[in-house]
Amino acid sequence: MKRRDFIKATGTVTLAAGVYLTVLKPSPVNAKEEKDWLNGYDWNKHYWGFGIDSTKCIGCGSCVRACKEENDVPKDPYHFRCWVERYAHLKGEEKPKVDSPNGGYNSFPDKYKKEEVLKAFFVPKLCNQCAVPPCVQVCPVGATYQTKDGVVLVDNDYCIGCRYCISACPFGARYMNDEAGCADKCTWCYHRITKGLEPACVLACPVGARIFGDLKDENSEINKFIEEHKIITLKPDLGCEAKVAYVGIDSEVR
Amino acid sequence: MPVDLSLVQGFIYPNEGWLQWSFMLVIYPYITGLVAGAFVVSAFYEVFGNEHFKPVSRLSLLCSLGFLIVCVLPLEFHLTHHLRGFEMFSTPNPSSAMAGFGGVYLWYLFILVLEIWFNFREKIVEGAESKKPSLRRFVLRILTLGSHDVSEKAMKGVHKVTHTLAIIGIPSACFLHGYVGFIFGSIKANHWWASALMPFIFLLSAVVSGVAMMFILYWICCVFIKKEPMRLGTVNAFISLLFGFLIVDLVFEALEVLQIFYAHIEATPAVAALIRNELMGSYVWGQAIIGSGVPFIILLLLVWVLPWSKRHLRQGLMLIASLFVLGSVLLMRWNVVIGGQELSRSLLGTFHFSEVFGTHEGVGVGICLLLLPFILMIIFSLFLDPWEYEKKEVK
Repeated sequence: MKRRDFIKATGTVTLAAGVYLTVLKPSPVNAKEEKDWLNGYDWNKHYWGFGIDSTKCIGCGSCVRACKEENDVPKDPYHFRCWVERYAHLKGEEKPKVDSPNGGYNSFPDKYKKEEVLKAFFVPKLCNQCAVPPCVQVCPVGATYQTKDGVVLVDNDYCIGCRYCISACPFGARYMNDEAGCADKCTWCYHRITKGLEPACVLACPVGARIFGDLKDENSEINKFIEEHKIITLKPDLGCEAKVAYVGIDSEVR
Repeated sequence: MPVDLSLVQGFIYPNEGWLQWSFMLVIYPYITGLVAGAFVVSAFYEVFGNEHFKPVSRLSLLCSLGFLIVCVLPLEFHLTHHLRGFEMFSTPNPSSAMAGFGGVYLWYLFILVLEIWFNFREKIVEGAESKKPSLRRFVLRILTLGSHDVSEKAMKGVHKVTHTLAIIGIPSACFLHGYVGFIFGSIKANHWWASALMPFIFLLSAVVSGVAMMFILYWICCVFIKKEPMRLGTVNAFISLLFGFLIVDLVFEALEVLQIFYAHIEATPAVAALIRNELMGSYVWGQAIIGSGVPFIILLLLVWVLPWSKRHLRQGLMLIASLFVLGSVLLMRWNVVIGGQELSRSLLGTFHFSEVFGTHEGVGVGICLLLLPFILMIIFSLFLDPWEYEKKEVK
């Protein structure tokens, strides 16, 4: 074989392999499998929304505990799908004290007993299911994706465990699921909401501080909540278009 | 790796108590930088015709290849699903900066391998036609790809292609490492990373580290392998090149920090706290004052005060400056990768991370990976022999 022929043959094989792997390789999830996985649920008919009424939250930690139970989240102080933060403005202090001991799992110790607290409030946190999610943008293999009903999920069969998405989340909502070796996050309990149930944290909240519903349903609780309150979302300057609507928090909450 | 929560200053999000990117992600940009830097040294001879870099030109190419092959290994070690790493190349997410690195990497690998093949063409054919059977002859025969034509006419074409590839290689090498800076600089969630200057800083520090490394390798080769004096012209060319790039690099790094503090954005107090609490040793003292200040002063002395000094003094001082530069750039990668994660995205706190030695992502494996390119370079040198050529030319 002449050198020229050899180079030609090698080039052709490389090009063909490249085209197959990058363009023609069939997607492992075909339409039928997708339908089976959703079990009859039509994600085109819903667009989920979440609201937090901080004025109602008492920092009991029920949501955190329910979430960890429901989603098998490790019960150590490093892994959380949802957590609660406490903001306390103390007399004589310029900036608020912020804490979240064990994510609020065991509620909050009354550590400001001896201080004069001017103002304090709890901020329940969870994944904001951003409309423009940086985690989806940065995932090198497309393992994390946005569903048509507005939730960001992780495909454990695809995730390579690079943790780029964890670093890219401005809200610190992602963590590494060590058992699966994949990035993990709050899904607004997608396995429940696709069956018509509420997320575990919403169900567990004793004061109704967490509001969940379908934004496509005009009469849903979430639509009423958004209509009746002045709401803010977290870190709007980053352009992620976070979707969790907050009521009753100061602008310093990030 | 979990961090000691008792060392948290202020408030961090609960999930941030687990450091995601450790030492492997520190040496990944470090190694990639050395790839680009080594290639730039080679290009000064191959493209710009600076004869002073001829003694190290071919070695730089082999060195660049050694580092390029190894540069993906830290990423591979870092993944939790090691076998899925190839998916980044085969089914990349087009919107991901990290997936884009796969394409940039493969392109540069292609250019570099071609460049080396054409550059060493004569050597390959010469070795393949050796009468003594050996493994080297067997490998080189394969590398000839069946063509043994090294006639004057053929070599004229080879030189033309080599020159063209070297020209294409410069932007490719620069883009490779600038792109690594972009991978970090494009993460808007992290205010220590999110900067348009990040790719430039990465690129310039890459060139600086590559020049320093090639000088050290040139010194080792002259003193321990070839046992011949270093060429004064080459030493001076290295001094000028390192000094020039170091100045521009330091200016850009200073501008980035100045921008954060002067603009006084929301993150400024948090970044100030990060530098004060966590990075005082590694950034202020290690990277800036000692790592950059010492070589800058040495190079300034060599260029300004002691231009008349003798070769031994010049090469000795340059060697010290190069070692400091290599340490400083490694610290720079540490301060970006680890430092960035020590700053909470809540902008309300910082935490301290202590590196561990033993894990598969620890310092021990990292040191092995940093040594591996040199082993590869030695193996490549045994087959492709960059020295004999150089000796002939020098005589």
